[in-house]
Order: sequence, then structure tokens, then C-alpha cells
Amino acid sequence: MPSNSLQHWNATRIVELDEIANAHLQVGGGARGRRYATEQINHAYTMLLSSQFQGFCRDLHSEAVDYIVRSVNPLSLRAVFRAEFTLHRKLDRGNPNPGNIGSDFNRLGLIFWDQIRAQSRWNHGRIGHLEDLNNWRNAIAHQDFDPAQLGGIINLRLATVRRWRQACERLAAVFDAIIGNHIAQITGTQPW
Amino acid sequence: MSFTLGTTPIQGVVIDDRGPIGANRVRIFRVRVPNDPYDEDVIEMPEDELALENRSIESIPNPDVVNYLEHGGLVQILKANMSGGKNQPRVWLGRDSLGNVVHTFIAERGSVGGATIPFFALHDNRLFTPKLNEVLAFLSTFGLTAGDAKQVARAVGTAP
Repeated sequence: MPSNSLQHWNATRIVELDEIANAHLQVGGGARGRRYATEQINHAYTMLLSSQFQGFCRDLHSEAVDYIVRSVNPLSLRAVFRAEFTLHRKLDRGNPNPGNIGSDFNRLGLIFWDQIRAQSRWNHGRIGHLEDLNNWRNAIAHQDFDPAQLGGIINLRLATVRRWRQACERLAAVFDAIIGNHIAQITGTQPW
Repeated sequence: MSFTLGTTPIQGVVIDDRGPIGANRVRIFRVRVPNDPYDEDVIEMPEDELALENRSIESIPNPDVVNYLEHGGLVQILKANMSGGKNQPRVWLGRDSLGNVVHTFIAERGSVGGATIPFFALHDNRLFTPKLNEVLAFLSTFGLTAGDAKQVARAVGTAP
């Protein structure tokens, strides 16, 4: 059984991403203006993907904190630990870029990205996709399309967004497994 | 809502329901924790560690108000409006987690006050004399008598 956060990702967040993916398909035909319309949908899809992945990461962090803190005794320390783990959490305000994700999960007592990279060599590329996704997210949000920051391109294609989504979906499962195992190691109980 | 942070009872306000994402699907809430007169903090708490709090805000006796304002409270309050402009701050007095008097800029956490802080009423951490009457009127909004207000002003001192 995966974490509550991954179940929510699979049951709800993915469905919402599917809805905007379907909207892209609805804009069909070869009429002038289609390319512009689909590019705007690609931008919206990118923003939504980044925000949903941010939501998943924050959920997983909250869930992990809850499991870890429940293993703490005396009880009077629990709220203190909760505050330490969640105060000024970067995922509450910042993008789900690798720096912010690593910073928050490292507070749980592991070097997060070392664990992720060690799990599979494919994760190196997925981390790169996550960086690209958030660079584009920032470019769209600020309407500042600097090719130097965007892999040399300024036109976003659906295939690219799909590739990022696949990376996020895979990373979500990897995060779930790595954090679950980490909690089991430090608390002695497998959380999910 | 209330909970205990270490040994300190905290009254906070739930600002977000994160859903049933905790262990055994317990709901997780984001709770705003007051830190008056400074910015509040936000931490996450599970529903089974929170208790409903119905405590009403207590009134503050005048001697406690005078004591707070004389010993640094008034200077700290007046420092909050040295730059003027739009939306000048309003201030209330309330109680902190230990029952001490403290000022707050959040109406719901105050029990007395609510007036706009006089603009540029300090000089070298003493009351700027041209603003003295304005400050005395401001002090009366905390329920102080004219005599109490003058006592506070004397304690803080005036500067030309």
C-alpha cells in the first residue's frame, strides 16, 4: 500500500492533469491560430503539473513528519518537532525544484537526492526534467522566456510536457518508496 | 484551537485543512500560531493533537496596561508608525500565551484599543513634544484615564 500522498496523487492529481491534457486534444484542426492556442494550453499544463507535483511533495513531507513525530517520546516534544520540521518549509512557498525538495526532505534525516540517484540511474534524467519543468514554470509565470534558461528553446511542445509528466509520475513513486523506507529505518515501523 | 508546544499552551487558528494525509489517515491542519507583536508562524498539527478552544478574550485592568506601556510597550508601538503613508497601522492590547500584556496588530487577538498609531511621535525613544497631545488621546483609546495617560507619558519622557 503506498502512502496517502501517493494515493491522492494517483486518484486525484493525475485526473486533474488528464483533464488539461484532454483539453489540448479538443483544440484540433489545421486552422490558423491553433498552434498559438495549443501553446497556451501547454503553458497551462506546465503550470498545473508543477503545482500538482508541489502539492504531492508537500503532502508526502507532511505525512512523513506525522509518522516520524508519532514515534517521539515524551509527548510534550511532539509539537516542538512538528514545528521544527514544518516551519519555513520551502515547499509551502517555493517551486518544487530539486533544491527546494531536497532542502525540505533533508530535514527528515537523509540526503534526499543522494538516495534518489542511488535508487536508479534513470533518476538522473528525471531530476533534470524536474529542473526543466520548474524553469519553464518560472518563465511562464513571469513571462520571461530566456532561451539560455530554457534549453535553447522558447516554444513549448506537448511532447515536452508529457515527458516532464512521466518524470514526475515516476519520481512520485520513487519518493514514496525512499521516504517510506527511511521512516522504517529511523522509527522501526514501516509506515506504508 | 489549542495545543501544547513543549510546556507552553498555545491558542492558534486553523487556516488550512490539508486533508487525511497523516498516519492512519488522520487529518492534518495548518495552524497559525500568534507571535505578537511580530509576524505569526504557521505549523502543521494533526487533528488528534488539537483541542477546540472557546476561551473569550479577557479584558485587561488599567494598571496592567499602564505597566506595559511605561516599560517599553508605548515606545515599541510608536516605532511601528515612523514612516506614515497609506494604511497606517492600528494596534490593540491583548494577552500572550503566558498571560502577559502585549500589543498586536491583529484585531481578533486584542481586547482593547484599535486606534491608528500616531505618526512620527517619537524622538530618540521619547515622546516628540509636538505630538504629545495626540499621543495622550491615543493612550485614552486603551481605556486609560487622563491621569493614567499622563503617567505613561511622564514615564516615557518627552523630547523637543
